[in-house]
Amino acid sequence: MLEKKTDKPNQSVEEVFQEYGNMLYRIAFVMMKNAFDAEDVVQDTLIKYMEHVEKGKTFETEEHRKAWLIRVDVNLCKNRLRFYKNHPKIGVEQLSRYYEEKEDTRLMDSLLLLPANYREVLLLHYVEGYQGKEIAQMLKLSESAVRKRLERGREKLQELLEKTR
Amino acid sequence: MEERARSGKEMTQEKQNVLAEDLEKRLYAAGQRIVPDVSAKERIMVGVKSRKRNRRRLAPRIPAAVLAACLVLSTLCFVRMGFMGEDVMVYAATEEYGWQKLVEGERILLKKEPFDPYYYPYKCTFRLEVQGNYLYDRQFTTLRDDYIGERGGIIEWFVAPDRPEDAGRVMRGKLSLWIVNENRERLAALEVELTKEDGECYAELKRVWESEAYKNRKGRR
Repeated sequence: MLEKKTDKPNQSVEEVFQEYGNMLYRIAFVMMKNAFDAEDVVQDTLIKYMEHVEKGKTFETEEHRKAWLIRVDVNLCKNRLRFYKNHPKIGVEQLSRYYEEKEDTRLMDSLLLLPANYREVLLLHYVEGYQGKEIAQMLKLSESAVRKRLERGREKLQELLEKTR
Repeated sequence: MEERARSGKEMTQEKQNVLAEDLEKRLYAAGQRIVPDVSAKERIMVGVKSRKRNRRRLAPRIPAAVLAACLVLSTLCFVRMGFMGEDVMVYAATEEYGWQKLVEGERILLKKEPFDPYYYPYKCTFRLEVQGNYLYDRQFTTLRDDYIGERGGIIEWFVAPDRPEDAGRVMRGKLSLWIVNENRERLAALEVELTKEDGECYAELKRVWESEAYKNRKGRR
């Protein structure tokens, strides 16, 4: 991906939300499987962004800013998932609000059935368009681990799609 | 002969590539549709500005006034299943009786269908029947690593393997389902308690609620 030097090193939180809000929400929704946690995660990500900028830290490129936001978003989701692991009752799931077609709901339902480590790489690759190397940097994984998760995730997704038919 | 086998193999590979490509396109299109609505965007920005974080909001966001009104209404209007009549019905798949209608206060043993040996060894299925052309939204509370999904009136409870630390524990979760109108206003609610006990899965209809608007609409039909 071409690294474009950012002309707004300290982009305001509103601008960041305008530009990346949908992406951050999408990632959080797929990770958390519900809209309420997704909103909270996006909110916390943006607060962290504000604090980061207030500390005088800047982003050299737009890609750097975007990757930083994704990493914070994913990490906050993981923290929350870890919390929920130890608490029997969790969230609320509302896929039907996004889809009218049964097939689309079935596809996303199958995606949400996958473990979080497959969900995150499949989403970043197929929906957000990142390459294996970039995902590896973002998630602090090896490239081969990302490739493996993509491959396995794709296979599992196909299997689950067949099973939920 | 060898050439034919090779060409067959190539064709299978080609077919798989087409399938994978189709899946990627569909995944992209479906993923892009997940966006926060206007009210969610407003809530996020208000939260960011006030720097409120980590609220662990586990309950649906219902304004306090609406919640209070619902509580009053529910106290006044909670009714036996009979009142709900034949308008909203939930059936569960059972081993013994096939599809069995859930009746308030009756706990029934669910049929466990094998699903995925690793992540979700089995699933339990519910069928929802809503008379008329209502849209419905749902709010599901899940149990531990389980997942509950709904499509076209079928609700599936995918049951994850038990964790060692949960041995001997009775796990309970409540599945709430709201019937909404075209404007997504809440008209009626169902609550089904899901229980995992000694490796078995049970469901019990706990309570139902109908709004005045829903009752009036029903009366007119």
